[in-house]
Amino acid sequence: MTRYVARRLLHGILVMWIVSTAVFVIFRLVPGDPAAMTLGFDASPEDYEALREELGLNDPIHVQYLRWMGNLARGDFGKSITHGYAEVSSLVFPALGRTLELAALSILLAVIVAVPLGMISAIREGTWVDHIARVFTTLGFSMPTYVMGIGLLILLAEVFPLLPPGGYVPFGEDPVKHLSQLIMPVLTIASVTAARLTRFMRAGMLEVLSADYVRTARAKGLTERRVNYWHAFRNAAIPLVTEVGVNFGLLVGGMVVIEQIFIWPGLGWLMIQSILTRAFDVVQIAVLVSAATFVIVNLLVDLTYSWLDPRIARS
Amino acid sequence: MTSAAQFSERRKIWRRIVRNPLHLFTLSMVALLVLTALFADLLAPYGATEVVAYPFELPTAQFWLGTDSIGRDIFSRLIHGSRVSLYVGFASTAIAVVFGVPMGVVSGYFGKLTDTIMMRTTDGLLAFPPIILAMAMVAVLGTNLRNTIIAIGVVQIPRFARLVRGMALSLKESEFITAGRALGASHVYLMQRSLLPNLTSIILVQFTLTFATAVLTEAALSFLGLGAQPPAPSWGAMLLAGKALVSTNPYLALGAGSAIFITVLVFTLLGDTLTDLLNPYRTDR
Repeated sequence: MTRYVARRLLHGILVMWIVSTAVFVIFRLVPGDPAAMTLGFDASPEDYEALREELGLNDPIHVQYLRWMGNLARGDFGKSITHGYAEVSSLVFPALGRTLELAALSILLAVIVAVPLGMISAIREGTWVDHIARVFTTLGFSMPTYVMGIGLLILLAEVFPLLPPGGYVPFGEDPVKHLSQLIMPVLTIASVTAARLTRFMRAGMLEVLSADYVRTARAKGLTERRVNYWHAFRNAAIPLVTEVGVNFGLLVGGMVVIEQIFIWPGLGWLMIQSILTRAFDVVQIAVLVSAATFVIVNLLVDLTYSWLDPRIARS
Repeated sequence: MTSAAQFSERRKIWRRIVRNPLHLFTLSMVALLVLTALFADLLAPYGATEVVAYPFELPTAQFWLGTDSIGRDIFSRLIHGSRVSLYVGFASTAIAVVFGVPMGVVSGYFGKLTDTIMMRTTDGLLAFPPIILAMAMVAVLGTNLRNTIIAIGVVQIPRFARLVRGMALSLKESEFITAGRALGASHVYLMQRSLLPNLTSIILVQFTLTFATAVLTEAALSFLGLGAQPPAPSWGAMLLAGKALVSTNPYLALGAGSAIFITVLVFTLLGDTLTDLLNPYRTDR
């Protein structure tokens, strides 16, 4: 087990190194350097040269790379010249927090809906409950989150003006407003995620229900309820941990569009604003942080999984 | 394979299509979408950027879904938009195949150090949420349709490489590869003539699924203002315009949203259909 944890940690660090190198490559080696991108087309050659010197772009590429990796290793994300020399971390991490809030609540809601729905759908395979669940999952699978989001916006903010059409107020300032602003984005993401999780739960449950130990449990006279909810559910739920984790990681990055629709100032929103204002020093860190979150979540999921099912670590 | 065997194989696939209403539906929808994109100029009542009436017109017999904020026919723009979507879908998926498949075959066939380096690289690239990586690339390369295609394609390369590598890894232990080696065939010959033909059906299925993802990503990028630029009739950009117009004419947002939804649904279903049709182990009753 210790060896497994060590190996997974090492792998995580390796992936993070590749990820930060990839970000470096994307933002340095492409046509048009960061100085030109920051200043735009109408900058004077003097300003351009001064900025290049300041950003260290006149140094050889390997010096730049080592400085980039060194700064990251020390947790120094630099200052943003386009944001009045504010610490980039003071922009990125609060945004990450707001994204995590949205992602966590959405996943929670999705699990609350998907687990019972997937289970019932599997236990009552072929009945009308199952059919409805399957139509829901198929539609949810192909429904792009942003189309769903716009649909909800039209329904709940325009046709029936029940909710604010977006925006963000900190919880400490106005809890009621904060929660009302959360409803639509959370509903949007949760419904699409719930579709995926329901399908996964149903498939897992169906597989487990035909396993030998479930037949044995039935044969020794346990009640149907005890077989379904005690024996089958526990085994079907373990793979769900992975699925939830993968979805959570993807959500952190994938919520760009949702945050844009509902004007929620999370990581994706920050990224778009920074791209549009050419604040590439912020964009690169935002990209890095969203990938890092994904890596960390995956690592935690793998460790949780091997703790729930020790066979994984041994193989 | 003899021509008679080929003939019966084709008949078997045809029979499977005709017997399954879902397959029939999926394939006709795909054909409909492709034909719409090909003949958009003939089908659309008006041009993609043609100003034909006052802005904000509600649906009439002449303008089926009304007009947008500068008086262009929404219905016509939706039809022209199919061309943008399918073009981006096809071109970016082609990039992913052209680079991803050889990478996967080489990685799986040679194994060892080649495999380790390639797989760790894909690990790193797969750690980025797809849309974030695409956004970063578009931000750096510049926002236009060509760069959108490149970005979406590059993001999908590791996914193809992974899939093909796994298949190649298990296939290279097959007897026909060993026999080929014994007969003195070169590595390149074996990869091209023995491995690749066995991978075509799985690549084809992945192609359609990636196609759906690409359409979805293009629409998302355009919605964020990072994809096709106005006045190009991209569904994503129309969805963005439609969001602002929701209270005056919701049909722009609804139309563009439905177009994206249907296209993605159809190509996802096509993946299922192809899996079913090309499965050599399936026995027909």
